[in-house]
Amino acid sequence: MRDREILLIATSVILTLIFTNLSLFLKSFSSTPFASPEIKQAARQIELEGFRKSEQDFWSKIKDINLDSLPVKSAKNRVETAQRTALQPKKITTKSPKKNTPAKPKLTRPYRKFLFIGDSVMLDLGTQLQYSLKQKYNIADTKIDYKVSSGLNRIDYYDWYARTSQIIKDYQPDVVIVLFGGNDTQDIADFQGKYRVILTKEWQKAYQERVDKYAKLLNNSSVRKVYWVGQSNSNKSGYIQAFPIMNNIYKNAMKISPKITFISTWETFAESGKFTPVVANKSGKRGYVKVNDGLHFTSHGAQIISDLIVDKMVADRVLQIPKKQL
Amino acid sequence: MLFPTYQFLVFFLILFSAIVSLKHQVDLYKIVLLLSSLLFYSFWSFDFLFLLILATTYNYIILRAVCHGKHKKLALISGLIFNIANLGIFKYCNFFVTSLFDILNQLKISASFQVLQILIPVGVSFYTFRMISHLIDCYQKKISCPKFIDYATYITYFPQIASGPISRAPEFYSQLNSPQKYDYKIEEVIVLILSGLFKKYTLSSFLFNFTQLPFKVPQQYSSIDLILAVISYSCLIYVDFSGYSDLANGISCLLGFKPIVNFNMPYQSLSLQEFWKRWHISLSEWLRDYVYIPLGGNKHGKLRKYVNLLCTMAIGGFWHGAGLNFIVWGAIHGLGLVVNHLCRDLPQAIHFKIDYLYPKTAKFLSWLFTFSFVSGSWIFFGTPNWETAIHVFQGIIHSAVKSFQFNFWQLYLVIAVIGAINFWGDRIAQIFLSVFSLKNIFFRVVLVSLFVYAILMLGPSTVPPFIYFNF
Repeated sequence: MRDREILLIATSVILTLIFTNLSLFLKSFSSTPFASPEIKQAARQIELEGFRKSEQDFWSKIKDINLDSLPVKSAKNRVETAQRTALQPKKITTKSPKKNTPAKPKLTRPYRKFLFIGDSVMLDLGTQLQYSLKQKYNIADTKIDYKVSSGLNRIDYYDWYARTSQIIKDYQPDVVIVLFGGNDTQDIADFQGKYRVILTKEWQKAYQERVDKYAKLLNNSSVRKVYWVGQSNSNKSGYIQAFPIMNNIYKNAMKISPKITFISTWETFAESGKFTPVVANKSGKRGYVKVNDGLHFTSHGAQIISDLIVDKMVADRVLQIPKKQL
Repeated sequence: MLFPTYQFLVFFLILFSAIVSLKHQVDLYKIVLLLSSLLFYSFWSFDFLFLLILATTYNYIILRAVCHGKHKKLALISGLIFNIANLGIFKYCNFFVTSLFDILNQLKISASFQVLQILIPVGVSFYTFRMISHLIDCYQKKISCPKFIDYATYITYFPQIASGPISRAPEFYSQLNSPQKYDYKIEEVIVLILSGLFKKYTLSSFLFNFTQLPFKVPQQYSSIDLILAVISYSCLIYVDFSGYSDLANGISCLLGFKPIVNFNMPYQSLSLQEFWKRWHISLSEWLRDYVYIPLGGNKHGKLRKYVNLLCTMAIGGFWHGAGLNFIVWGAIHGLGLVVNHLCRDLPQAIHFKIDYLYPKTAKFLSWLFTFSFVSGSWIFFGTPNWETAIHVFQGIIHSAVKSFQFNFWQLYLVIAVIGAINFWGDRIAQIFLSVFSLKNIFFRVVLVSLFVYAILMLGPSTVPPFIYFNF
C-alpha cells in the first residue's frame, strides 16, 4: 500500500512539474538519451529567459576577476614591459642593418590584455597560460571566461555570441584565445531550427555556420589577434572520430578573418597518429597529459599546450621576452 | 548514471514498480535487485562492469576458502593482496607512474618507455572496502559464508556502489533475506530525497563556482575571498557528500533497507575526535574496525596508540585520492587526533582553567578551533596539488589583491543555511517530517511538487558531478 502511494506521489509530482513548467522540463529532458530528435529540436528552440538568464549573469559576474585590483607592482611592471616591448623592434633592426633588408620597423601598440574563452577545458589551460604569461612575460592583465558544459553547439544553453560580445566590450582584450568543442560532440539544431545528427554532412555544415558566426564576431570586434586552439588527440573513440572533423571546421574559420590563427594540437599528444597518454614537456619531464575522460588536461598536459600557444605567440611577435630576461 | 537525472528517475520508477510486489518473495527479489544493480553499473561502462563481476567472483571463491578451506589464513592473505593490488592498479597506478617520472626527472635520467593510462572504475574504493571487510569478518567467524547471490547483491548494491555509505554485510544480509523489509515511513523517504536534492542540486551546485578558481589560481584573490572560498569548500563537500548519502538512503528505504547514518551535523563538533564520529561515519567506523584495531588500537600503550592513529588517518587520506595532497590531508588529521588524544590524556590538573571559569567561551573556542582546523585541512583536499594549497594559505595570510569579489548576499545566505543544517539539522528534519506526515495524499503531492520545483528553479543550469565519485 505504502509502496503504491510512493509511486502515486512520484508520478503525480512528475506530472505536476511537467505541466507547471513544460519548457524547463523539455530543456532538461532534451539532454537525456531518451529524448527523441523531435523533442530535442523543440527544446532547443525555447529561449532562455527570466530566471535562467539572470542566473547565468550571476555566475558570469562571479567569474570576473576585477583587474583594477591587481597589485600596483604588477601594474607598474606591465607599463615597463609595454614600453620595453614597444621599443624592441628598434633594437633588433639596429643590430643587423646590413645583413637583412628589413622593412621599416613599425612601432605597434604592445599586446597587453589577454582573454581566454572556452568550456571547462579552458579553465585548466587558461590557468596555465595565465601562469606562463605572468612568469615569463610579466603580463598580468589576463582573464579566463569559461562556462562548464558549454560550446558553440548548444547556444540555447549558453549564448557564447552574446557573452563574448559583452566581455570584449567590457574588458577590451588585445588577444583572445579560444578553445571549444569538448561539449559540441552532439546533435545540432541549425540556424533554420532543423535538427542535424552528429557528424553528418548537414551537421558539419551547421556547425561550420556556428563557428563562422563566432569568427565574424571576433573579426568585427576590437580584438587585434585571435588564436583558435584545436582539439588534441584522445583515447576516447567518440572524440577520435569527431575532433579531426571539428578541427577542420575551426581551421576554416581562418578564412573568415585574418585576425584568426588556428593552432593545431592534434599531434601534440600523439605518436604515429595514435594517442599517447604520457608526453614529455619542454624540459624533458614526462607525465600524463589527459585525465580519464579523454578530454580535460592534467596540469602537465595543460602546460605542454600552453607552451605551444606561447611559442606561437612569440613567433608572431605578439609576445616578447622582457629585456631583463634576455 | 547520477541520481538527480531523468535517466535515473526512469530507471528507478521501472525498477520500483516491478519490485513492489516481489518484496516478500525473497529469492526473486534478490535476483531482480542484483540484475538492476548490474544494469545500473553498466551505464558507466561495460569494461567496469566486467571488472566488477570478475572481482566479485574471485573474492567469492577466496571467501569460500576462508570459510571452508584448510588454509584459511593463506586464503585471507591472498584475498587481501588481490584486493589491495586491484585498488593499487586501478586507482594508484597513474599516481605511481607520475611519481616515478618525477623521480627520474630529478635524477636527470631519461625515460622513454611508454605506459598505459588506466581508467578508474566508478566506486572501486567503496566496493573494494566492502570486499576486504567481508573477508576479514568471515575469517574472524563474525559471519558465515553467504550464498553467491547474497554476496553479489551486497557488493554490487546500486544505491551504495558509487559513493557509499559503506554498509556492513551482517546487517545487509539479515535485511535482504527477511521477507519483512525495512518498515519505512513515506515522510521519511520524502524528507531524505528532498534533502538530498536540495543539498546537491541547489546548495552544492551554487557553491561549486565559488571554489573552482580560488582553489586553482589563489594568487588572483584577496584574503577575504580566499577565506570565503575555504568556508564555501567546507560547506560544499559536506552538502555534496551528505546529499548523496541522503539520496542513497532514501532509495535504500524504498528497496527495503534501513538507512545508514553517514553524517550527523559534523560542523558542530567541539573536537576533532567528535568530528570523525560525525563525518563519513561509515568510513570512520570501517577504518577503526579494519585498520586501527588490527594495528593494535590502544592496547599497546599510548605511544603505539598515537602511531596507530597517525597511520590510520594517513591510510584514510590516501584512500580518498592518489596524490600527495590527500596523504598530507590524512596525516594532518592524524596529527590533529594525536594532539586531541594527548590533551585528553593529560592529567586533569593541567587542564586549562578556561574550561571551568568560562565554559561557554571555552565551548565556542573549541568549536572555532575545530572548524578552522577542518576547513584548513580541506585546502589540501580541494586543491590540485600541495603547492597550490600552500599558495592558498599564503594568500589567506597576505594577498596582493585587495578587492572583495565574493561579496554576494546569496553566498552568505547559503553558508547560513548550511550552518543551520549543521546546528539544528535534527530539529529541521523533525519539522519537515511532521509537515509531510499529513495523511492527505493531495496535500503531499502539491507540497512535494512545490519543493521539487523550488529546488529545480534554485539550482544552476549545470549540476557538477559528485565530489566523492572521484574516490
